[in-house]
Amino acid sequence: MISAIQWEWTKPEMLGWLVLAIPLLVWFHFRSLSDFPLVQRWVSLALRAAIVLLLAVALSGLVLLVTTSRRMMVVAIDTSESIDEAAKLKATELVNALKAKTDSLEDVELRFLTFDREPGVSFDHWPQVNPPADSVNNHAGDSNVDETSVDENVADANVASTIEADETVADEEVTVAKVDSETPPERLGTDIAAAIRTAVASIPPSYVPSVVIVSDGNSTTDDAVAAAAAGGVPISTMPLPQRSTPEVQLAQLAAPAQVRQGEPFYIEVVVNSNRDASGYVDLYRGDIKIGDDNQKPIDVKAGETKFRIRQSIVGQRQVTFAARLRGFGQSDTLLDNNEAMAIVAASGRPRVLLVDPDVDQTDSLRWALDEQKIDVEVRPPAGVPRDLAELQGYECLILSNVPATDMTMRQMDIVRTYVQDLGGGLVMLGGDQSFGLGGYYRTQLEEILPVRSNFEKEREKPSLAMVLVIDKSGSMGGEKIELAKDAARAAVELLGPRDNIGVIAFDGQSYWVSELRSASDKGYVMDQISTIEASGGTTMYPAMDDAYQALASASAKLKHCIILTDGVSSPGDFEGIASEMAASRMTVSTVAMGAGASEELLQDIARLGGGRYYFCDDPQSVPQVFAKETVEASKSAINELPFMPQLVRPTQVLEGIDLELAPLLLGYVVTRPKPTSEFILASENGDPLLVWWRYGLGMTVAFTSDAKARWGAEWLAWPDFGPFWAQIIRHAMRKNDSRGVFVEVSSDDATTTVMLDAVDPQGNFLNEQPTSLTVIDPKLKTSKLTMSQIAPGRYEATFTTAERGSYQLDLAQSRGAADAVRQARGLVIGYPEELRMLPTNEAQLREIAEVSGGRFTDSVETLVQSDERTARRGVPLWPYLLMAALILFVIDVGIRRIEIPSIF
Amino acid sequence: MNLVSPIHWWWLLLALPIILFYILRTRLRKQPVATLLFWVKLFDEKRQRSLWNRLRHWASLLLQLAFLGLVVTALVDPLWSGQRENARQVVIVLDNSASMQTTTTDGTTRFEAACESAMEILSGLRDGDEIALMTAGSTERVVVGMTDFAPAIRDAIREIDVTDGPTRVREAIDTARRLTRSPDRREIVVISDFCFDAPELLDPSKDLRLVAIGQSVENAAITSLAVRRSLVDPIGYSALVVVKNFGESNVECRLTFQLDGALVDVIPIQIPAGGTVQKTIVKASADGGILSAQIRHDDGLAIDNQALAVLPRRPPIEVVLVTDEPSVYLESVLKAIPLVDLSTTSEVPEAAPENGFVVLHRVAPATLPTGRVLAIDPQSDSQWWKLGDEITQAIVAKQDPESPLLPHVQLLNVSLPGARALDVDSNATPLLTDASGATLMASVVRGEDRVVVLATNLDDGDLPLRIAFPVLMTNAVNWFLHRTGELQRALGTGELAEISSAGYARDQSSQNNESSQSNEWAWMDAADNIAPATRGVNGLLVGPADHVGIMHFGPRKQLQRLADDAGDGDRGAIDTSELERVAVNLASASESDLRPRVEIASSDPAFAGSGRRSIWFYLTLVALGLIVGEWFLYQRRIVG
Repeated sequence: MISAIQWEWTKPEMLGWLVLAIPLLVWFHFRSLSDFPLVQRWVSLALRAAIVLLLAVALSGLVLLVTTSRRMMVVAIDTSESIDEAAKLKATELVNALKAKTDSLEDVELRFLTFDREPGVSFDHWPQVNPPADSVNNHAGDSNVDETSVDENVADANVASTIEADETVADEEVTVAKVDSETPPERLGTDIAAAIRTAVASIPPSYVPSVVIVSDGNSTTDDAVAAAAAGGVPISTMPLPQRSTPEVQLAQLAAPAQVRQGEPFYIEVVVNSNRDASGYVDLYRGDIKIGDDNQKPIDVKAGETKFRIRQSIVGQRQVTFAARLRGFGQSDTLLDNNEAMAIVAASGRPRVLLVDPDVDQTDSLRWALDEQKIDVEVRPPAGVPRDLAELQGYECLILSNVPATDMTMRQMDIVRTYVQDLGGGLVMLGGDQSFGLGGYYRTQLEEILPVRSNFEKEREKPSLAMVLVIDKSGSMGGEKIELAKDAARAAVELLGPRDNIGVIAFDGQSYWVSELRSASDKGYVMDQISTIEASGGTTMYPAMDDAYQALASASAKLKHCIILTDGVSSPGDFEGIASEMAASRMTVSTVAMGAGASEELLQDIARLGGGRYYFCDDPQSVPQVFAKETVEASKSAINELPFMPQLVRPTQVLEGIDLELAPLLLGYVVTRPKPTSEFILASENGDPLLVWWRYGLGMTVAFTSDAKARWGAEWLAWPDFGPFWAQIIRHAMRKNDSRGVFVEVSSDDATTTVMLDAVDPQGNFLNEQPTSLTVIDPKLKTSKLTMSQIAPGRYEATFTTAERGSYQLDLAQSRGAADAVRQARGLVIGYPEELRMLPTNEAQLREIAEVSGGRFTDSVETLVQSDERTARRGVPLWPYLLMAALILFVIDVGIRRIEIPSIF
Repeated sequence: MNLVSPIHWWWLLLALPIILFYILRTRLRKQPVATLLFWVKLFDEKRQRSLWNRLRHWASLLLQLAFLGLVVTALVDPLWSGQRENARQVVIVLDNSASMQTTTTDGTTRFEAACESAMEILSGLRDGDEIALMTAGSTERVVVGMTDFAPAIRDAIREIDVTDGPTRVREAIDTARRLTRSPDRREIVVISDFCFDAPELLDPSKDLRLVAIGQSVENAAITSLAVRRSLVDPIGYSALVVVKNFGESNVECRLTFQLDGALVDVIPIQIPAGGTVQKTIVKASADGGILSAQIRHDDGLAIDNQALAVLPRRPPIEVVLVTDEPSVYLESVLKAIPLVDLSTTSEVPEAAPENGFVVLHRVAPATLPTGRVLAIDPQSDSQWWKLGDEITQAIVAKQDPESPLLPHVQLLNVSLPGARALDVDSNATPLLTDASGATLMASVVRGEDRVVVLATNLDDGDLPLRIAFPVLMTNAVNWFLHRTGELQRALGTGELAEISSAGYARDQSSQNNESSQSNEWAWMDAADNIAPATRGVNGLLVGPADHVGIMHFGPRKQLQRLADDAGDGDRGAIDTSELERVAVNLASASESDLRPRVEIASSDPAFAGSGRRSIWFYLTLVALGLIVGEWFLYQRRIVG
């Protein structure tokens, strides 16, 4: 039918040549000198004009649009983590069958595409050859292909790797290896929607399009069906079987997000398995394992198995429950999905964690606070929380005479994050192991406390001569020697101008880095310390002897030596020299850096030398040890004279407390207030007694005396002892006011949304309240977000939670002039959804096929059935036009040579 | 040199007939004449040019053979060196987001200008180049896959409509990169006004070419509208609207609220340059409907001057008053509460109505109804309380300040004659107590059951004379129905969202229970495009919608009927009871900000290559010139 013929001109402007050429032809026709008969000349003109026309039309890019039923079928193959080797084998079989079928059909062209969280590029061939074995785990269709591949060959290589993986199925089945997923977490996932979009897009318009999705249908995104509906192309779906390699997974650890104190609740553990298996389910409450030590294995049946454990929370604000699977042996292939966690928050009285080395001495404070309706949990320094989730269970942390050396750097980091970003409270009480005496100089905690641990105020104190003996042997190389130098510098910084300092470094021999000299020349000593470089062996005795000799000749009243080593020294009379030093009124402290040091010897030296022994497993803590030693040796930081607290700055916090009636305190640690701190109480010397300030979102308080029998003995009987501490701690603690606030946290894929509803006591929505959300990720990285108001009384923020682990959230809403209303929440992100063992999602595959007009089938025959659809293909006509012009040209030449009338 | 069709060299054989025709040159005709005198003279004059006469014919042959050679060489289609390798794979990413509706000074829209740019790119294609077309508004879409047939792209550009959706340029670029199989030859051309967040992060140095469209235009927009039912007022609602000024000058305009077309409020607003105004209105309506907010302001973009929100309907509250002694006062108080549908009976029902509660007034039921119960002056014990002796002079000494039942209720020192002490367990919350500590009123929550008991005789005291009692009853209604402030969030264009739908949930459960066929669920956007809605975890997945307005969702048949009748303009006549509605707004600050974020200089094509056209084209062009020239030479007898 003529109406069915369609033309397209790609460069119609080229027809403009006709406007120039045809008149020229005609003009010269009339100006012709030819003596041919007129008819022949007209025929010649017509022929020449036709040739010109044909050439011009060829130049104009005339294209004939022909109807075609030639199909392009893009087969998108799921290669995500949920597709195991058996499923890959099935996919390969399907593809091979499809290829064999279409090879016999002329009107079907096949293309292939692999996808997981992202689709790859499409490629033409599905090779039958086996590639080298080392490409087993290469990922077909990797997005990096875009950046690295030069041409289509790369795509072929990707396919090859898929095939190879398929070929190894048999071996893999026999020796089921324990596999942690090798796919990077950001690639774990299945995005069928993106695969559909890419597959549809890769079909040129000159083909009848069709797409085949070969997948288990478990998309980790929501929009697969929407993409199928919007694609405008029939999408057929072929199901792949669910993971058949032996697998046990912890599908869910269900727990209520919020309970009341003491309220019983159930923790539900859901285990999925694809065969009967036996193993252990370990359930942890915080770090403590729940259940018997003689745990018996449990049997899980193929399918879903649930366990329920009754729990309640008493005296804690937040508890992290974790469940782990172990001991399932050959029944479990993937290890990544064997763990799940849940955080349960408990409402109730405020909770305070009191850390004190003398747990027995804390009773007075504990009882006093209990009377004031504050729950106190007392722990020794070893119990300082090691993760943020645990610390989040308390509104305030009280460190009572806890030295910095009893904490790791990470623990101090956690405390700082807890205060600065999560609004927690920190109270440090004085004692002989607190502030400077506890080695807090230059630590993260000193940074957040409202007082400084060093002090410039010169008081009457004995002068100190100190020699630092530092191991510089080869084993100290790298970070260790740098930290040792930092430690030495910190010690020098803490000395006063009347003190003397000397530094000896030793390896196989002893070297004076800096002779014993006045600490007023700190710059020189520090420069000298910087020159220490690690090398050589470990011979400690000569260095100790040098230190002894130098200190013996010094005139200072206090003489102290600190020895740092990480190895085992060559033999020497260490006990003898330590005793001699002690006899000469010198003290010797020793620091063992790491487990390789001869701890026993160092302990003996410290004991005989009348000093202290430290073991630093973490080299980062060495500077704290030196700082603590220096302050302690100088005996300058403690003032143990009875004094009356002096009110420096009246405050609402101490309202109702009559400080004039307060008994005497018997001592305190000397510190220096920081410039912007609120200096509330002072000693009679004007040194800080009670200072606080706001640090980040939280509050830190320094009380330089103590709350126990040593310095506060008389206070314990003071009627206002309880109210005094309760009011200070309430001031410092995180304000966890849940009235009128409702928080909901929901996570989807790698995004978490936090929603906060705020109403006033009358039930009216609170609008336009500045609301912020602080998020601490599992790596303690902090981000602060503004929650925007999205509806009356409702505020929302969204953030990415790609990292697996527990997140701590702190929501703060300002309420006019009053303090902000705060809410703390915990959030656990488990293993990626892709690792969840799910049955083939036939419903989704059917829906994709249904909405797009495709078929849900595993029959290759059905897939290749042709349909009524056609496409338009453009056929360029310029070669045919040129051919026609050539033929006409030959005729034209002939006409010039043959006189037409003579023919007739 | 590579030849595409070397077989066409056979056409050179046409040289044989041309040479043959040359040999068979036309014989001179015999013409008898009277004398040769003049011919001899003429012959002598022309002799001196005889050499040219001989060459003239050779030249003619050469020209003819040259033409043949040119055309045949064109036919074999030789390629430039590297032509195949240098052929580009161009993807045009055309931004058809909402901001592209902005009208420029010459009256055209940014989108029209973008289409023109796309056409220019199309005309600049070289032979052998492949091209694909994508749009990046609302969602990224591949309009035409990779093809070497430019007219298909040209036609597609003409058919693209601008959407009301946000810009998805980044997603489109990712897809474009997957479309092209040879990164070396890839060129992605983004034609956009770059009104989206952080366009400076697009790196034009690689395979990306940015073509910026449009100038800075001032605009004011409603960036958020949400309406929410009140927690305390049975028919009240609050609406929050946020209006932003994306311009350098202050904007003064009126903000108009309408509910189902009826004017609700008009607020004059002043928005400073670059500033934001947030307004909350509190109004009342039991029926709900479509709430629209509109600013009357002539600016760059019209669609963001209006936003819609769906206000859920508040159903009537069924209150069953069970009493043997009708109390006009109590009935009046309950009836006065908005939405309360009061019925009075003497029979104690087994359960409270689903959307209401039971009031037991001076009755002594054997068992209380399940659900929500308000017991006033009970005459017997129940599972929730035990009645003590009558208190001689009951005066309220303490009331729970935190109970949601007692806001705005002041009953301290109020005498309650005939009150009896209530003995309630520890799960109950005492609300009113007298000086001796006896509980006069308490509330209990256990599971789904909520009970309030007030152990006093309404008729004897002065409670009826106080405003506190009606307020208490209103509080009780709110507490029983446990309102959370129903909020149906409006969707943004281009957003895929899961919506919980009561109709869908019913449909699914009926399918599960009766194994019947469920409805085919779909959604329809404001432009009457119907698309399937799919199952989500907790509801229906709808979207992404390209157009602002009201989206309907429900059984596809009803939607189809609604769409079919839309042309008649008589939608009110159609039963849409099973259809649910959700508002779709632009609500995108980045899309409404029509000022350029960064200076983006339109860049040149990244790939410079050999000629734009194939060799055959130039050969044909020369042949065309040659054949016209040869005509001139022949007709003027310069060649033979």
